[in-house]
Amino acid sequence: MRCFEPGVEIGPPPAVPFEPVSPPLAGPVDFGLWMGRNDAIGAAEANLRPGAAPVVRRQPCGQKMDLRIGASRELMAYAARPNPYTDCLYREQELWRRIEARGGLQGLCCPSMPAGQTPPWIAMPASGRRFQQIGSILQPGVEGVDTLVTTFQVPVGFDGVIVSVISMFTGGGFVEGSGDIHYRIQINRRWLKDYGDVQTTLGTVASPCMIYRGGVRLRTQEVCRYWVQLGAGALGRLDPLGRFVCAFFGWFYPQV
Amino acid sequence: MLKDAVLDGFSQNLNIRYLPYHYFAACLTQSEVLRRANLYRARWVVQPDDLNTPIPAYDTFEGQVKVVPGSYLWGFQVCEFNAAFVAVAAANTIVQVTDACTGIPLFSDYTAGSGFSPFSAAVALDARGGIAPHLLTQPRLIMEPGLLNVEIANRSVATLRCQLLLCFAEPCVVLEDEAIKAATGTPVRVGGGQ
Repeated sequence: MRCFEPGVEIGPPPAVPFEPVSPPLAGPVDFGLWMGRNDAIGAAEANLRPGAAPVVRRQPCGQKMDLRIGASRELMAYAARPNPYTDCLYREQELWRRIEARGGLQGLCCPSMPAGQTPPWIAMPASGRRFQQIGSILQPGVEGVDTLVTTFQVPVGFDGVIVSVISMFTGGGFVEGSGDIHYRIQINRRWLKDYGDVQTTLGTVASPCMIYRGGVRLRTQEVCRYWVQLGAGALGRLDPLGRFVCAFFGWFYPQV
Repeated sequence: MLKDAVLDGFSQNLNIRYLPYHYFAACLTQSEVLRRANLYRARWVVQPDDLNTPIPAYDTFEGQVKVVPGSYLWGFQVCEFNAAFVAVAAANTIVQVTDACTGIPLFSDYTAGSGFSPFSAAVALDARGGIAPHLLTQPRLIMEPGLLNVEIANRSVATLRCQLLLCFAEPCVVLEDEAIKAATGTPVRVGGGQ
């Protein structure tokens, strides 16, 4: 956290007249409120000042506590003004508001995407690279184990987006949603939201399944994996000569 | 000019050892302006709200945290809970937090919760001297609209229960400003903007 008006943290104290005070010697004192308002330091200064006699104030008539030392439950005792550190934070916030008003950091620092242009994860830019990663394996012949069908990694310096996928079984015996087949998409070490346990076919090679309302954005060097797992008893129902076909479609684009 | 010592939970916690060149002390130094500022109060937010919220296997929890614009996020912590709801190491939790205003994530990619848990997966007792919550290198300002997108992914093959704790310092409204608002109808200032 930096204050962009340097020196304010260690500058002179705010120009308020010094008013020596001391804790009340009698009467109820709410130490929680006292500490919370940082008045304890002021009181300590008053007591430690060389040659200064402690100032003892009489309890104001009709009030439980002394407003001047902040030990009051009166509402207005909380009407503190920002101290220099709070002002420092306020200035930082004002700086960021100005940055945001001018397009944010991305707009100010080397903007690589002209204003008004469609973001590269919505429409492929001219500098983009298409990919269609298709993989196929024989039925793995084992139940309850994730088997990798296909994988790819986003190239260094590029981000990407997956806009459509395929997960299908070419043999017979599969009933959609029966739990015999579980398809999973994994990005690095996390399972993709809503695609971590798909029990139905998604698209075909001729007509991939679109990821509606926006694709899956990828960051550079992320590894995408398409897994398949057979459910309990699936080996007895699925065609042993069938193949699993999984694919990713989309594009890479230079990082913006 | 020598400044007074900061009186807060960090300076009064006897469990924090004097290790001036370690990460924690360096983070506290970066937080000094915030620690000395008045008109800020602590607000700790957990996601999901209910620690009994199950995150199914292979699934991701998505939530949104609303804070007062101008708040500072200064720390966080991740815990998992076992069947008896006892906090354990977050071995299967990976998290990501994104500022909805700027779209800038807290981490470059999903990060393992085990690195930010007060419990160690090895001994299931504590993090061997680690201090929770985990501090950011410096408090992070959350601007308008004061929204954070939270994603907690379960990377295991079983249902998971966990919580992400986010520690904020939230600006307070000055009562005098409230009086001005009541008198004039103008918005109350809670930060640097007008």
